[in-house]
Amino acid sequence: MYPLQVERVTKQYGEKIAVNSINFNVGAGEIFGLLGANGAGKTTTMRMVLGLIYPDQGQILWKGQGYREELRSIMGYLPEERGLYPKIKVSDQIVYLAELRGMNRREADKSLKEWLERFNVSDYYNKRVEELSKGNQQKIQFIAAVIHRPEILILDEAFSGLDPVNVELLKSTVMELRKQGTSILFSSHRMEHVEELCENIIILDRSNTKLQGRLKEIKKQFPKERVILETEHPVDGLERISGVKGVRQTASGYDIHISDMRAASEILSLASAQTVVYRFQVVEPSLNDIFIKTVGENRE
Amino acid sequence: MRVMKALWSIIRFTFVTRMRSKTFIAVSIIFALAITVLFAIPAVVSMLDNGEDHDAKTLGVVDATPAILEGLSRYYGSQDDPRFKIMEITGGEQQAREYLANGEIAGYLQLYDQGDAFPRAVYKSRGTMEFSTLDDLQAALSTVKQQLAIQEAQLTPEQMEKLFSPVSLTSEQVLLNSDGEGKSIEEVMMAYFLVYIMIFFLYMAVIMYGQMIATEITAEKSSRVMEILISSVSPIKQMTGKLIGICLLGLVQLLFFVAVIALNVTANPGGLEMLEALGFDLGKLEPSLFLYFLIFYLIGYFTYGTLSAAIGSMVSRTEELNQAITPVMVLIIIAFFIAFYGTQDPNTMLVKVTSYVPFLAPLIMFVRIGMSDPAIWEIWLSIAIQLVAIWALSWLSAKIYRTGVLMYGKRPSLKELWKAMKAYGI
Repeated sequence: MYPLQVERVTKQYGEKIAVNSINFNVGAGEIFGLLGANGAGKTTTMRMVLGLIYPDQGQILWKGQGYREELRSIMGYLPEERGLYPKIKVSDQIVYLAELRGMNRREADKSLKEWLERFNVSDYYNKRVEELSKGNQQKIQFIAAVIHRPEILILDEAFSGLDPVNVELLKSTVMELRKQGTSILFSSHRMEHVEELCENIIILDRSNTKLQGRLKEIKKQFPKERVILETEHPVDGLERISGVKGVRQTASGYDIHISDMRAASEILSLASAQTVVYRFQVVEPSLNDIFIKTVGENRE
Repeated sequence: MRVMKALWSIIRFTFVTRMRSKTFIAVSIIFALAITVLFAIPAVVSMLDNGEDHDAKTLGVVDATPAILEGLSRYYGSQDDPRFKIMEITGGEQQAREYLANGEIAGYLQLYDQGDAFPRAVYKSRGTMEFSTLDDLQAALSTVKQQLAIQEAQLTPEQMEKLFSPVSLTSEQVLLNSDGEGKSIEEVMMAYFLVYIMIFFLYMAVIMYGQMIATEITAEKSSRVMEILISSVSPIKQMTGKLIGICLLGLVQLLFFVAVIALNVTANPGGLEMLEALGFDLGKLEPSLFLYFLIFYLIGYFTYGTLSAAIGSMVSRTEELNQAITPVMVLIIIAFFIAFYGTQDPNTMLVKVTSYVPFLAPLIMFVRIGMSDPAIWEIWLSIAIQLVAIWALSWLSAKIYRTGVLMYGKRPSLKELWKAMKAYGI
């Protein structure tokens, strides 16, 4: 049984369908990627998973049952738009939010101190939120979402506003939560993060499910269409090889778009005939490419 | 158990954070200072008063008989702080005008002979609207007239005593609904006093705390904490917790002001005198009035509080709040005026009817209790109506709240709100 089951859920606002028959499960210890362009229905889906609004059709099951009061303490939520009290001390508000999720004050206070230490920001305990930088507010927001050890965690753009060092810090934390068995619904526009963390994904486009399944399987369905080439000297005539659709010169070499795998070997032989080849790689499509292809193809 | 715990957390958090806020502290201090200043005024005024003496002005008297002239002189001469010094003017009105012109006299009294009767008098001066002067002269002339008449009649001391012993007159209210005694004038004064304070306090409380509730909710919405809050605790619990938290805050503030007043009364010698001058006497107060004060204060607070909460939840930005909350303010102002009118005349149909209407009743029913004698069943019927109204209102407000907090952007119209409610399945 999955901790979170979303079964053919549809939500309508008046005439407008916000989410059309979405269907997915999130297992224990799984990070599930919920992707989509702006206005695709992600927020509505997350609000339904949080129990804030009810589906018109289909059902959502949390640990096998419908919505119940107890869920409020086993769910954690990190909203896309940062939500903290700007003028209230970090300790006061995090302890308060943890209390609302069913922790007692002492427990919450202890846990908060541990988390602050782990994120190397122990001295923020007594600071007001508005005194912190955006990235540090984000860390506090993250703590607010996980302090009560939720079993189901919803992360909406968890890493935005963070520098690379802190992204790694939070990413490793998320992976650790996964190891502890938390079911995580992960939404982001940063495809490299999704690629790194999620095994299964769903891509929504204008209320409809466009793509769904294991990330590895999805990638296999998309042809390999890119070749990366780095050489000692420039190579002439790459564009003339049949099957090459475009050549982009990068700082270190070439990024070549092909329509046919046979073109790849011709590229290599042409390059090695002219100069020394440092790097030659046929890359599988990135999730970014897949996303743009899936969502962007019927856009103008 | 967990339900109560969360509610308690909300109450505590609301109370503590508000209590610590600079605005709350500043407002409390400013009011405390204002109260202190108010109590210090009589002392300051009497200090200033002692500094200067009122000089008696000179009053010219034209064409008076010697007896009247002497009577007036004696009348003013026997006073501690006489308004006038009497000066006989022998040169007729012509001369009086001259004296008036060069400022030797403040005005003059022209007497016209009426034969056997007391002369008719006209007070002439350069001023207008000198009503108190006229009253004063009327009293002086009447005294003189009485004395002359008594001299003429040659009364015995017993007859004099009979004539001058004061008439006893007090007022008492007739109660139609109960057998008890009516309210004495002191009790009515006391009730007046309390009712005024109550109306004023409830009015201030609704405006201040209603605004506070709405602002708090809008701020949570605009800072987006709301999304986390509503996923943690049910909206109705949140709203209730907030209302109770701020209610406690209000009661603490009320206690603080009462303490400031008490301190002023005991520390300031003028303070007690001022209260007595206003007819304030705790002994004359019915304890039940205090109980009703509290009941109707709480009813008023929760009626307006739930409505303010609903409005706060519909607005996304604090800047828009003032406009949105105007209807609530208009309601309390209407209640305020009817209540005020009710203190003068508590038995009119308007006052009776509105003492049952939600939003108006907290002020007006209290005025009726304080100023008149509604039957017990009337009071409790009104209270029952208010409780039902609060229940219905919080039910509706919770729905609006639940929908409102999820809606961002421009303030929704009622129609949009209704649609959204249906859409969210609330």
